[in-house]
Amino acid sequence: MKRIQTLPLTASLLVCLFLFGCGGTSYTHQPADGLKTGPGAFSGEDGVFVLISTETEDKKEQKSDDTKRR
Amino acid sequence: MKALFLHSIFAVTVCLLTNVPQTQAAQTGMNDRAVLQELRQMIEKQQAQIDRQAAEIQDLKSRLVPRQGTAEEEIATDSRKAQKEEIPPAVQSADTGAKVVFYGQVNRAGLWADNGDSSNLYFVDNDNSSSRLGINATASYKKLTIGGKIEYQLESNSSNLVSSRDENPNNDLSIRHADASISADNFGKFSFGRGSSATEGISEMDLSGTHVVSQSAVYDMAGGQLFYDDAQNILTSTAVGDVFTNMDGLSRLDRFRYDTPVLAGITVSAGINEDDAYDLATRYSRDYGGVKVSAGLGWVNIDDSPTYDNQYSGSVSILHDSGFNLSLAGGLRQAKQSGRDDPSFWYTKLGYILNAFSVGSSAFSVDYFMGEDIAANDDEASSMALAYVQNFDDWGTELYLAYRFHQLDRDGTDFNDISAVMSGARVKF
Repeated sequence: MKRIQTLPLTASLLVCLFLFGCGGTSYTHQPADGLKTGPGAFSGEDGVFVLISTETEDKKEQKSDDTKRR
Repeated sequence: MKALFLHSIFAVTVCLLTNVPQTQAAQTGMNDRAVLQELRQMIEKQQAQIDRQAAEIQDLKSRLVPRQGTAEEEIATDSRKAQKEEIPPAVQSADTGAKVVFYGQVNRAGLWADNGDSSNLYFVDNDNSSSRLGINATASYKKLTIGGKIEYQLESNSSNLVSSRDENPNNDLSIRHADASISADNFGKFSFGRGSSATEGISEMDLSGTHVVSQSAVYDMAGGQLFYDDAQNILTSTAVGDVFTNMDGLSRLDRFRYDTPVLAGITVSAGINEDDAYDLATRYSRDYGGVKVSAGLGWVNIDDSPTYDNQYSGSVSILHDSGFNLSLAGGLRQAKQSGRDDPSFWYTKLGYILNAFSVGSSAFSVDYFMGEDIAANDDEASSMALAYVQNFDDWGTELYLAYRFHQLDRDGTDFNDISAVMSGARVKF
């Protein structure tokens, strides 16, 4: 019985997800067991220690724009 | 100049010689020739010495000029080095960039647990979000990004393993990620190596702000605690972690994983994993300007599993701007063995996030878990928790306190309930 119910339930949830996807803006969900979000005690706002960075401001802005577009 | 010098010396010599009386010269004719010969040799020696000195001067001059040039070059090199330190080379191009970051957190707590017969205090690493260190590297060229991630977990006395029989389980160091990836905006992301399976986190969508101490993986807090059977007066070998599961996909393992690009907040992930396991998941995250929604649904199939074929699980979490939030999760496994009922679970959490203090938000939650047939037919495992988390944003720190209650109903037994209280801090470096 449970086996039979699984497929329609999955399909219904997928349809709901697509319908919900029509509005709002995207954001990145942080996994529950992931690293703590936000600033770090010593690393400051970034929350990480940047060892090497050759990213340009243009590149950062481009990434930011791409995220907003989604 | 050389000829003039020779000429002058010769003239002086001749002049001196001409002052000698003629009579004496006549008498000493033979001696004069010898003197002249001697003087000539002397002059030639002096000339040779002058020539050597002139050559040496010339040589020194020739050495001095390149040395000046080298000094100038060194100054220029130093200047270039300084420029390199100040301005990265990739600044010249807007299409390339690389970044390597180091990160980590420590999450330590005190755990008190009571199995109805005895209680104990443990000093643990909170397995809800373990202590860890990692390095993450990305290099981009135009739309293409190559990544690498290495992350180690450093758990001294994991909270889901300690028990009254083993207060110091040896699981200090383990690898979470050794992962390489390649991604682009238009074709998604390919990952290979050890890392999150496509379905990891699929049952743990949680926007409550208390997931550091209370989430659908209820066994992360006190999973090693053993049930005490009151009917037989024995401490059994049945642990909390044996009878509770949130069917959270395949966790982390060696795999090849693909994630589609995000489209309207939706992404689909698929994985081919070690031990002939396959998984497929879809995730959804959207902010409706006042309401945040995160949801996920996953399917797992493990050919080599002796216990089940397919597993379906998912979760959804909704957070309103007022601070109220609701999280739901559920899952089902199809048992392989004949006569074995399909294990299942459901979980719900109601929470509230309060922004009353300037130091950071305060999160409260109450949750309930019910699992059926997870370890054996007709098992009913339930759990309830109250949790409080206080954020200190400027310190990158959370302080937390939670109480969790575990109950197991099994035919032919009389297990005591297990109560646990955990309090600690998660500090992000």
